[in-house]
Amino acid sequence: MSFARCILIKYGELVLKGANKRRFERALSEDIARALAPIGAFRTEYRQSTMALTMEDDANTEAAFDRLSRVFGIAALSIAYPCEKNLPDILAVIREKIVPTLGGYRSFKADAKRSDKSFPLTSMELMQEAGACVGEACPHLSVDVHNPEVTVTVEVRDRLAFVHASRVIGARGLPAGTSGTGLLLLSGGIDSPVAGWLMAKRGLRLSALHFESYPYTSERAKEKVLTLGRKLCRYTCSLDTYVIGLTELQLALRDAVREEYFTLILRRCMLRLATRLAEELSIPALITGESLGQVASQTLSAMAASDAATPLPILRPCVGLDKDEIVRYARHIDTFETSILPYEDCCTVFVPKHPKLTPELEKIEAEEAKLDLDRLLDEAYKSLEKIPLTEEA
Amino acid sequence: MIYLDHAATTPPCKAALDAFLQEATLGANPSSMHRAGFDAHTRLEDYRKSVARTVGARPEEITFTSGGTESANIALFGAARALKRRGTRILVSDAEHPCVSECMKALEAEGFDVVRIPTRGGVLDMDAVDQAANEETILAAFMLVNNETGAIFDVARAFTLVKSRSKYAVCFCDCVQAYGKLPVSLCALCADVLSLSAHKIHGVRGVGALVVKSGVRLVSPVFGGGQEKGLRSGTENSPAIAAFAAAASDAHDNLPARVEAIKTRKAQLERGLAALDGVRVHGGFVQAAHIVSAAFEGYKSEVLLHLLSDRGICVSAGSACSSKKGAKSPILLAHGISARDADCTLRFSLSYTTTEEEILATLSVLEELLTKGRYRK
Repeated sequence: MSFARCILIKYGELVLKGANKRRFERALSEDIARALAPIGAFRTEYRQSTMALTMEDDANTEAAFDRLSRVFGIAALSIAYPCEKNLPDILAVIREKIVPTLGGYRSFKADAKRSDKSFPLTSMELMQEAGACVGEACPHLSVDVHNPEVTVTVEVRDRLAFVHASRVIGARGLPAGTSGTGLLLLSGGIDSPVAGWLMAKRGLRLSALHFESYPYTSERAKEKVLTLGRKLCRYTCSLDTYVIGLTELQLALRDAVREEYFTLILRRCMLRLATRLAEELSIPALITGESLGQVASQTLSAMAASDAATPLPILRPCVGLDKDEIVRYARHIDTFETSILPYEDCCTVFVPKHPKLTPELEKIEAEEAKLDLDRLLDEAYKSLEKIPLTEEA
Repeated sequence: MIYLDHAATTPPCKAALDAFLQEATLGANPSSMHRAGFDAHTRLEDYRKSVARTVGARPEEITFTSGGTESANIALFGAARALKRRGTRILVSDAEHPCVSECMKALEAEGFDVVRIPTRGGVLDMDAVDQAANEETILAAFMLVNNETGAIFDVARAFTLVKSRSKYAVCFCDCVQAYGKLPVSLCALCADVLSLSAHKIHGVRGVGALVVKSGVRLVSPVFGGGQEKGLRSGTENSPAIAAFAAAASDAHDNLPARVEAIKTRKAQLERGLAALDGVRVHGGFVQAAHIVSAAFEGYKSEVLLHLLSDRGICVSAGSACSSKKGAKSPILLAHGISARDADCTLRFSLSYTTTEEEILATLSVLEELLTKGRYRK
């Protein structure tokens, strides 16, 4: 008997949406189509808040599964074998398709769910049958109902039954763009890619802006940021990244403003440039990787001084996270190893020895008034360069 | 492009490329039992003879490796493991290349007692060697030419001292920067093991050699098919080895003339640099001809490096470490160069191919950049 594979996709919190639910589902379908476009054709069937997706070429199923695990809006997914709703077929699938994949495990449990209550066996009975079938075929596996290394699950649904043993947690969150758009200030550090990922997870479609300070920063530093952007594309499919050269502005600031205000004023300048770009792109919010108290420019009053430089809301998803927590996320999205490459970034050029921790807005503005800031910002903005990024092949 | 980064790597010479291509076209594994394999083996032994001749060694004392780093790893771990029952003390200079200094950290973690010998002022501290060398000493590792400053260490004297104290000690000399610029031999350096790299002498990257004096036993950390007398298992990279042999012969046969040419350029560059405002040429120690290291006051080395690169001039920062890490070059600091100067040091490294015009053009660009003073710290 031959059984085709499919990917069972459980929707996340969007199933809880009310009147808007269709819009979210449509967005998720589009994201799934975008994620699988480079892999190959597929067909879907959606029932009972679960999508069964079948690749036209079965050999593409693993690659599709990998990509779908990073699509926001999906709560869980598994590679499953659909079959007719009768016990002999279900057990045949377990023996032929599931058992050969269990060689590397030490313990298992069987699980069964039945949304079709007319199925002749109860969930408990079905579970026992499935468990006995696995146990008989795999004497090396012990049963562990609390911490099994693998769970063999039978789901009896309205039209078909599905058997799987590879359920993974999805990226969760909300489909791309369902919450709007945001412009991510992307440095080469650990925090900003995480901030972008966290907001993309909440349904923001991202663009990114990076500042460079050549020759104080290098081509490699820029390439590193583009690599980070490409890594984010694993979740967002694409990311338009913009780069602005800040060197002249930084030199002017170094020569004119009091050292302790340098970083803050530079930051405000970055936000002004970001605002200009965001308005041009009709993006209503900025995203930064700031974490409260992490460095001198991320104190509460420094953040307030930053906020005062832009009319746009600044989303700071890392604000309440410790560095350890941010690093954990960075490892999860595979940006950490790139972020720690030791290239100078524009924020570390001309860093003051003793930055102002509790800056007052009037004093900052008085410092800024020493310069023809509008002209300097205009000049910097002229260097704007757009680099469309997609996921690395 | 003006390429003044020959201590990092050199472009392969024509003889090397021709030899590479010829050997690559012939194919066959030197270990194969058929006729083509035997021919490949015969050619490999010819290459070995060529390289051996350049270091005054016997062909059987040459082991081909993938380069300087692998050579150092095999030598250091090989000697330490072979002699661990005789003692645990290891002497090493504090200015070694990471291919040695990182091995030392690993050996330290394995329980060896690693003593670092200062190189303040660019000179290997003989008093410290005298104090540290004892009968427990099983290994000493001193480089001949420092890769960042060009300082030449008196390794022959240090090794003689070590050997006068310990009858078992293996003396290893990293000759990667010296080879092709100074006469190098086991005998003259009083060493037991030397490491060489092909791509620093206009060979190709990915090949080097270990010169192991007959009778010295190393327990190789590399296991496999037993090639290279079991010291470096793995199919020999014959095309690269052919190129190495060609470049080595070329360098060896023309050594005096080439060194003279490099010395002339070096003197010219040093004079020009010294005449620039705020530039200090690191010196005061015996130095190899091909490296000039200088501090540019008020500039981060990386910034000047980028500005020079924009103008088509390739040099290295004295410190390859990142300023972001706050780490200065441990080698420059070990030489007693201040942290401030270490942060603004550039390394210019020359070859016999470097021309007078290239030196003049570099000096003129530097003068222009420093006069503008646009991108100071």
